[in-house]
Amino acid sequence: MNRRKFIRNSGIAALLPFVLNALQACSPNKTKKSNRIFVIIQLDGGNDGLNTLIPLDNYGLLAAARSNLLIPENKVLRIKGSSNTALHPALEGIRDLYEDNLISFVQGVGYSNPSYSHFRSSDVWLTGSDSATVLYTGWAARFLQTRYMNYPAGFPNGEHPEPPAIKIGDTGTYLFQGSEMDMSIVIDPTEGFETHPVESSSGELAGMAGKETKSIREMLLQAERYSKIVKNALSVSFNHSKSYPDPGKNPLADQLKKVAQLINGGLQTSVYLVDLKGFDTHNSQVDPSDATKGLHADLLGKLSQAITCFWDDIKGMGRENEVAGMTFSEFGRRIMSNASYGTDHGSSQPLLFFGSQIKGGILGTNPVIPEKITVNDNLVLQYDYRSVYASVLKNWFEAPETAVNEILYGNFPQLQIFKDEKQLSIS
Amino acid sequence: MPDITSYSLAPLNRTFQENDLLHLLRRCLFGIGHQEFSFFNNKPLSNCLDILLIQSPVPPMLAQEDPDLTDPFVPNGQQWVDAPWENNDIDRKRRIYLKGWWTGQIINRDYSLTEKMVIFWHNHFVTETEMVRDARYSYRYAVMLREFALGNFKKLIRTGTTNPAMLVYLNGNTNSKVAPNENYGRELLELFTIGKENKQNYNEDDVKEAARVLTGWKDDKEKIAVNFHPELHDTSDKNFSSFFGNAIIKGKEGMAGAQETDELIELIFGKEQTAQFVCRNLYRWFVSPQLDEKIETEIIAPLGRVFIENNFEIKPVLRVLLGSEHFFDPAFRGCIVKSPVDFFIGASKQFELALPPLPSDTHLCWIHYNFTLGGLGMMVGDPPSVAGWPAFYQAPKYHQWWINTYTLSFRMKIIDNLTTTEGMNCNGPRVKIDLVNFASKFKDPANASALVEDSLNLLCAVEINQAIKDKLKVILNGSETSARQWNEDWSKLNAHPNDINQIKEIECILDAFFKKIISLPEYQMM
Repeated sequence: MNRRKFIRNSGIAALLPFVLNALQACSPNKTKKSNRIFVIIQLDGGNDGLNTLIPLDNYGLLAAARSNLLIPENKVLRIKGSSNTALHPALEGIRDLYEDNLISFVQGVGYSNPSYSHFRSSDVWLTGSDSATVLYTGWAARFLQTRYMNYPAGFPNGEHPEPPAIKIGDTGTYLFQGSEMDMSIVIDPTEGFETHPVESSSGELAGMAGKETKSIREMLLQAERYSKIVKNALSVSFNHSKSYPDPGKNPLADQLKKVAQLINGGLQTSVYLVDLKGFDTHNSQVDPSDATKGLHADLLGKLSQAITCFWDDIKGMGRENEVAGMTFSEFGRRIMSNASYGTDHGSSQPLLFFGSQIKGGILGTNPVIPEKITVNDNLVLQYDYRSVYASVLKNWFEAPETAVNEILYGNFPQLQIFKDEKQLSIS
Repeated sequence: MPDITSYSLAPLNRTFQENDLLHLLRRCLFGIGHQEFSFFNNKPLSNCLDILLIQSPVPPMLAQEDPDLTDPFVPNGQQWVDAPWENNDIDRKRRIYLKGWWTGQIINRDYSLTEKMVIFWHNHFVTETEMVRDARYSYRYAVMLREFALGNFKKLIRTGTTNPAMLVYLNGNTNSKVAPNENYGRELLELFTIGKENKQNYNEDDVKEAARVLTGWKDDKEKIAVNFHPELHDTSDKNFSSFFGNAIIKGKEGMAGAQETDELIELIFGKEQTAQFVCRNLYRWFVSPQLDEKIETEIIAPLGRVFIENNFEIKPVLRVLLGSEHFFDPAFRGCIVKSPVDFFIGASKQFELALPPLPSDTHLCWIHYNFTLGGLGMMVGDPPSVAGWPAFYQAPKYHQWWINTYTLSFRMKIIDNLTTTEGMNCNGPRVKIDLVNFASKFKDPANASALVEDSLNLLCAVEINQAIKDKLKVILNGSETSARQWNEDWSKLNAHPNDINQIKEIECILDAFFKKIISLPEYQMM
């Protein structure tokens, strides 16, 4: 039996509830109740990191590897305090936040033996597995299970009236898939939140169909249980930032606006997931006549605009110390471009963190571009992505180290993404 | 899965009963109501399969009927499928039209598996209309899926490899010897034929070699065609890994370079994994999403051999699977969560929803259906990615991906809209389910107990417990304290079929009755 099979059939995945329960039993108060909120932005399709965070010290080699989509050196967005690294010109909003010390980048994030499949690699990032292991629960869900013990049994309750996680959109996600059930409420960004009454039990049948009807009933009940608190939060009026585009123009901005509304409405949900689709730029990543324009520029412009508006909202409600967030994509793209003004699937990528509790600056070094570039060359891995998650869990959510190691199935060194513990102002 | 008792692909060796027929129809057609049931009832299984396996003809694209149409190339009363492509704005409207038309074909389905298989191939061999951005190309893709729906899988893949929509969607049109674009080559292996499924089989170099084989194809927007361009083709030899027996596809000069694509397809279809991969997906589609080792060896492996022996013709495989002991094992009854198409179009068909007679109104309804399916997570013509809809590939949740707090409430809202007095607004025209007509077609609609039993039997694939049945009866009869009796109400309606007040009262009761059934989690199953 190979390692993957072992874990899937009988190993860690099966043991997980026991491990977590044991953990909770001996230290019920170690995971502190916290008001901190973390917003995860998924960039669907594989973001081209080299055209997001541009290494100027390797510009000549970069020009040789991807001449047809190179951002001209006089068009890149310079950032204060970093002479070697610049931003894509569509990221002006991000540049401003960066210079206000509200943004950090982490270079070269990924995992060993990377998968170049969108689907497998998305699953890896969402479940928090290594390349060879298949996990069926999300890393965020495993964390939330330490706060919402035995979920859904006994929830919502006085201490936790809020849904553990919220996904904005119309589909669920592995990120919030717990060992018992999906721990998220899914809210469409353009509509309100509606629920329908359900018979609490009709005596579930045994067998396959019964297993399915049980989970559908649980889902209906979950919606009903959280219906009031979510509706209440959505009903609190709030003057959003004037910078938001019209609805429908920027799907990410629409989604983050909904998150802002929920946060302002007093919902204590600690993890949100939103997404922006379209990063699979094999083709027309840049406009052939102007490399600063095209698909990728549009997407980064949307990202920049959405984060800027969202942060305006968070400032407007005076909750800067409670909210932080990050972006990720299933992979970065290939160093060498293709003939269609695009790039194929690659490996490691830079991540972006935002929030006033973020340390600021750039972690890691500019990616190395090989002198004799071939189509097979990929960026070197600098940080395992689970180190990033470990930092979020430990430094942001203050999860105890033992719990973090259980959640991530290993001990991953933390990165200096957040301000030091002493500097972190606890709200 | 302890409750499966038969692991045999042998033909069903017992009486083909009413609930067997319902099971077969639920998995093969979108929406099972009185019509479907009575058409097939009392026919032997082999006869039912004969009918299901008749491929429906490819319907013509509708002529433009939209009075506001701003397409300069297509006067009303004509089709746009061969018209010039000028810009994305004009094309966007054609794409909406195309997806509406496609959705309309599902609504107009006959008693053939064709529509179910068109969606199967659409999900398996994906293009996204909004990514292709040329409705004429996507129309040709949709027609191709229809032509091969119950045809030959190998020919589908070969034809699709140089279909203009596919060529644009996965960048085959920019794959050249100077800068190979791996997109199509990768997905051809990973998603369309051999499948990755976390198994060690072909490797990254095979992807690159496949991409090099496929260099040289370009689409032609003027001729709406795909041509081979030898000057863009990589003429060096392509060396495959040991998985492919270290096969070499010899590089060819000139127009002969196109033959390499045929050789690549031969190479891929020479691997038994290709047949098994498709059989596995068919199994998940028709039987159950959950497979185990025993199903792999007893069902998938022999089914794969049937596929190979029949040179990748799909009909023999479906006949074996859908006629087998295994398929009719009671363990599988109602074990699949309805997809949005099964739910929404299924409910519309089941309750005999009539669309407005005027063609332009019908088309507006079709477009509305397509949008609504999108809201439920399954826009026909636009799967979310090249892998199709997660509910069909993402283990171990599979079909449970359809279900979240948002989509469940949306499903209920749709039924509310279809049963309100005004009906559902479909971009102007309104459609409404006639529940009185539907109820009247049961054997003994005046008998409350019989109506409960017969309705549940037709509408729910899963057994419903007595407590719920009692509640349903209370809806019909009223509570003990009320004077109402369902059989009297129903008889009065029959005696005075034009009594508006009586109709309203009956409608109101039936509305509560059927909505109660539809709101059961069991109704979500098929």
